[in-house]
This record gives sequence, structure tokens and C-alpha cells, in this order.
Amino acid sequence: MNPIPIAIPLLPLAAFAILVVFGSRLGRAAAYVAIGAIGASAALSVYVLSWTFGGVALDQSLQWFEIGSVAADFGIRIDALSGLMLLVVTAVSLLVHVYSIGYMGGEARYSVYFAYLSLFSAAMLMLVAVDNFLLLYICWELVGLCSFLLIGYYVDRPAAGDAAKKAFITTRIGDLGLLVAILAIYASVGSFRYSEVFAAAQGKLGAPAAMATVVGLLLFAGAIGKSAQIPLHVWLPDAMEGPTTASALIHAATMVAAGVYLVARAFPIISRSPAALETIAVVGLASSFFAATVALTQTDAKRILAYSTISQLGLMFVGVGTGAWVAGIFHLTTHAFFKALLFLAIGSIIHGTGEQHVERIRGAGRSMRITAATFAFGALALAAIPPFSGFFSKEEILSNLYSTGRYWMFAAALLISFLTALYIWRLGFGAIFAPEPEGDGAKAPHESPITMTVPLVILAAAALGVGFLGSPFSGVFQKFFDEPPPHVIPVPLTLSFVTAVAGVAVAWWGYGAGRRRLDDVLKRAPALYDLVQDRYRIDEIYVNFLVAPLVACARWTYERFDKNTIDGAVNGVGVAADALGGVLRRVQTGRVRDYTAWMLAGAVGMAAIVAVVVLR
Amino acid sequence: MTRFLVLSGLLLAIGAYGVMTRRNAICTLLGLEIMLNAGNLNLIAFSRVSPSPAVGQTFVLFSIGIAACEAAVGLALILAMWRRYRTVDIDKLVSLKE
Repeated sequence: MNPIPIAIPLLPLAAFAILVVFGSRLGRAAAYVAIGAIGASAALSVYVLSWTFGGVALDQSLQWFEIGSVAADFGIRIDALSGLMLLVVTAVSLLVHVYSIGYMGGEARYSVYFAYLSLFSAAMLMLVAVDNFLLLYICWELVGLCSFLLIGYYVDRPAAGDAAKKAFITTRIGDLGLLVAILAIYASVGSFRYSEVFAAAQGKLGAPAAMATVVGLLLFAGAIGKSAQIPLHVWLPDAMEGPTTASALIHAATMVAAGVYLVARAFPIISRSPAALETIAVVGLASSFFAATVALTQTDAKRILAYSTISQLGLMFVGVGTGAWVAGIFHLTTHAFFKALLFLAIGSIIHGTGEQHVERIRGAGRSMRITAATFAFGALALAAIPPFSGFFSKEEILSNLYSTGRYWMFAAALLISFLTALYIWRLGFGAIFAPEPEGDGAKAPHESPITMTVPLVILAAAALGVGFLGSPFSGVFQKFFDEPPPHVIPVPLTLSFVTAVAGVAVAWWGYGAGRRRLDDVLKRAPALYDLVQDRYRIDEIYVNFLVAPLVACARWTYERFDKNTIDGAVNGVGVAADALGGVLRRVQTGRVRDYTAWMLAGAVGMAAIVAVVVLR
Repeated sequence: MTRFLVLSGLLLAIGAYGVMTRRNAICTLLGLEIMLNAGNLNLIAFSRVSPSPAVGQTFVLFSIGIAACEAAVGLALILAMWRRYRTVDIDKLVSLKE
């Protein structure tokens, strides 16, 4: 096998192993081990990407093990999709690693953090590089485990532990769907390999459309969990309990992107079923709208970004679900850069001020100029203002909706686009660029160290520049996937531009210069506003109708069954052993002569047995 | 041949009797040595009829050598016992009972 693509995930994995064993002895040097590994992976990814122009560059596998007739292979597949994902993951991950030197500088469990970060990157890189569904599932779970570890990184905060458990358990529900889908694929095709499965998708797997629908929807169930779509989105906002850098990684490159990647990867199967595609688009659109409205009412800067991620991922699913999977992946790419940028910029402000509440970081941008400027780049990209990258990628999804005649979806997406520009600039105008509160004697926050500002500037450049690759001016991105370059459709182009600008304008009217006009308008419907601010109370519904009965059931089992039956059996064994011991201890007189007598009796007994059995 | 074996059996019985009836640790050790020599005698006796008599005799030489070590260790233990407990009566040392 060609060693270069395998080295990409294995380098961070090796860094993880080194940090786990020697981490505490390395001290501050732990960061450089992790950064060296991911940096080398990033360099290799650029090299590997150059192979992939024009189809599958590499699809090799070795037999891993065999159980009965089931053979499991270990294989690597490098094509346009995985090559691109490798580059995006390593690039974002590398910048987050570098940024973490400054952000996590004061942490006691410094090397543990970098060990988790390395394992997370390795798992995600493996996930996009493998060539069969079985390995994909293993990496999929490994990514989930790493997000659990990173969300629960602050072990002394109970909320972090709860959020970690919530993330793990919620995504596991979707993972069950993925597992069943993979088993169904194997039962139908007899192989886990992508190449064979997709070939079969044209034949028996896709022949009864019902089969393709079932498999497609089950795969999407896995993606719903990982990519935090309705109804399994509840874990992502709570995941804010982890370090902000971990959030940046989860939201941009390593965790939530896995769901979109899975749907894009399995597109040859899913595209056989119009019903599955339609479901994906509708769920994506609903999640996107829902999250955009919630983001408008939140007061925690990180939570606003979390809901923004749900909303943007929803748009990617709309793209994939309406057949434009390349547009979806393009949006995934641009989103990876500008969302990482937004998180790291907010992280820089949290680092400088120690606050993340919208009201308490007001005016922070005045004294943290680099952070504020880079945040503006990210916010403009998210708001889809040309020429920033988010405009081109979102525009393609919208154009596709328009040109395929899905007008109500197009209208809804425009509304989401407006809300997106509004909520992110609510954070921008209302907090970061707002005038500092008067009479507040608090000292001005200081700008973050250079290890944090340099990644911010690089990401800001990417948030501005990456979009051109897939714009109608260049079309390199589409050529890369063997698709025709996008052509300009004037109506959606104009409409999406107007809505985005309108969103920013309304945000300025509502929140600029320290005003709170829009909040006042929205609060005229207090019941609705509270409902939205409480995230439509979906968490409460889950707690009351799912978690509470389960806990009650578990409690009953514990009280009745575990304490009486299981503990009774265990304690019974102990009591019996104690009683037996009480009898046997009389043999232990402590007198040497008694022991000698027992020994001799044993020797004579054995001699007797030999005499009777062997000699006779 | 039979006479050797009878003698060896007698030696073993005498040794075992000594080990089991004597309360003095030194006498117990003496009994052990007698039992050991019963075994040695058996080896020598069988080596006479063996096609390779050197094997049995070599065994016995080793056995005598190790017995010397064992006696030294045993006597050292008894000495330590005397220093610690001021007795060589093994029936008084029953701390293993608890």
C-alpha cells in the first residue's frame, strides 16, 4: 500500500500515543509534538490533494481479519471528496492547535488536552480516508468518544460532565441508525467497500426503491446525530461547556462535518431514493430555520455560534438533499474556515475579558483590534456578503433550489439567510463593536498573544478567499469534482445579496451604537420570544418525557431488582464462603506436627493410589 | 535388593516417627535427615540394577550436598527461633492458627 495517505491519520495518532505516555514529563513541549504531527499531516494532505484531480486517485485495501464468511478489510480511498476533506480537517486542526498554545496556556492538564486534540484529528482523518463502511463506523464512534472527552475536559465542572454525557448519548441514538444501515448494506451487497456498494447501488441495492429509501434514511439518522439536526440537535449547544478551541474544532472540521461527509459519501445510494433526498432537504431546512430563530434570542456568545452551526449544517443538508451535493460540500468547506474563525475570535475575546455573555463583552472589540477585525471577516462570510466565501457557497445552494423549481424552499432559505445576517451582526454590532459601557471602571481587555492572532489572521484570509475557488469566476472547486462550473442565475443571486445586506442593515438599525430597538420590537410578543429563547423547550420535553421515565425505571430496577436479587446473590456467595471458612479453619491448628501428619497422610494416600491404579 | 528396600522403609518410618513425636525442633530436624537418607538409600539400591548406575549415584551425591545446605538453613532457623522466642518447642509456636 502507498504509505503517504496512511501516514496522514497515523501521525496525529502517534502524537496521541506519545502524549499519553510521556505527556506529563513533556510539560509545555507537549503542544509542539501535537503541532508537529498535524503540521506534517497537513503538508501531506496538500500533496495527496494534487493526485485527486479527475476521479479516484487511490483505492487500496488489505485484508484485516475474517470471521466465517465475513471479511473485513483495511483500506484507504483517496478521491476528490476525501482528498478535500483531508485538507480541510488538517488545515483547521493545525490552526486550532497553534491557537491552543495561547488559549490553553494556563491549564494544568495541558498535555492531556493536546493528546485529545491529536486523537480527535486522527479519528476524523481516518474517517474520511477509509474505503469501507465498517472502518467508517469505527472511526465514527472514535470521533464521538473524542468529542465526549473534549466537551468534558474541565473535569471539575459538573455541567461539563453532563454536557459530555449528553453529547455522547444523543449522538449514539443516531449511530444506531448508521449501524443498522451498514448491516443492511452488507446483507444486501455482501461487502463493506464503497466501490462495490456504490456499484451495487445501480443494481440490486437500488432496484427496489424502498431498499434505497430505508438505507438512505438510516444513514441520514446517523448524520442527524453527528451533525446536530432536529430532533437530535440538543447536544451541540450544551457542548459549549468544553474549551472554546475544542468547540471550534467540533463545529468546523472534526465532528459535525462527519454527518455531511457521510451523506455526501453515500450519495450514490441515497440519490436512488427521491423520498430519502426530500426528507434530508426538509429536515435540513427545518433545523436551519429553527436554529436561526433561536440564535437571534440567545445571550451567550458561544451559544449564538452553536445555533448558527446547526443552521448552516441544515443548509448543507438542503444542498445535498436537493441533489447539489457538491454545493453542500463547498459550503462545508467555506463554513469550516469561517466558523473556526468565529469561534477562535470569540475565544480570543473570552481570553481577554473572561466573559462570554453578550452584555458583558460589550466594547471588547475596541481594545482588541485584531480580534475584532478577524471576527468581522468571519461574520461577513457567515452573513453571506460578497465577496466573502459564505456568499458563493450559500448562493449555489440557493440557485439550485431556484433552478429546480423548489420555490417555497427557496423562500424559506432566503428568510434563513436574512436571519443569519441579523443574528451574527446582532452579536457584532450589539456586543463586540458596541461602545464600551460608560462609567464602568473595569480595565480594558488586552489583545491576545501572537500564537492566537496569527491563526485568526490566516483563517480570516481563508474566510475571504476560499469562496473564489467555487465562484462563477473560477469554478476550480466544481472542476475538481468533475462538475460544470456554476453559472450565474440573476434572480437568486440578486435576492440572496439583497436579503443578506438587509439582514446586516436591520442589525445595525436594531443593535448599532448601543441601541436595543429590535429586542424591544421582538419582546412585544413575550410568549413567543420566551418560547424561542428557551429553545422551543425541546430540552424540557426530552427531560420530562424521555429522561424522567427512564430514570424512574432505572431507579425502580435498582431498588427492587438490583438491591434484592443481584446483591442478594452476591452477598449470599460471601456468606456461604464465610461459613465454609469457619469450618475449615479448625484444620489450621498452627502446630507444625499436625501439618506434618497431614503431609504424610497425603503422601501415603498418593502412594496407595499409585499402587492401586498404576501397578494393578 | 529386598533387604535394602526394607532397611530404607524402616529408616523412613523411624524418621517420620521422630518428626511427629518430638517437640524439640532439633530432634524434628534429625528425623527429617533420617527420612532423607531413606530416600538416598533407595536411589543407590535401584542404581545397582539399573543399566546406567551412575545416574542414581549422581543423584545421591547431589541429594547429600543439598541436604547439607538444608540442615544449615534449618539450624539457622532454629537459632533464630531461639533468639526470638527463647524456645525450641515447636508446639508453642502456633501463631499461624490465628
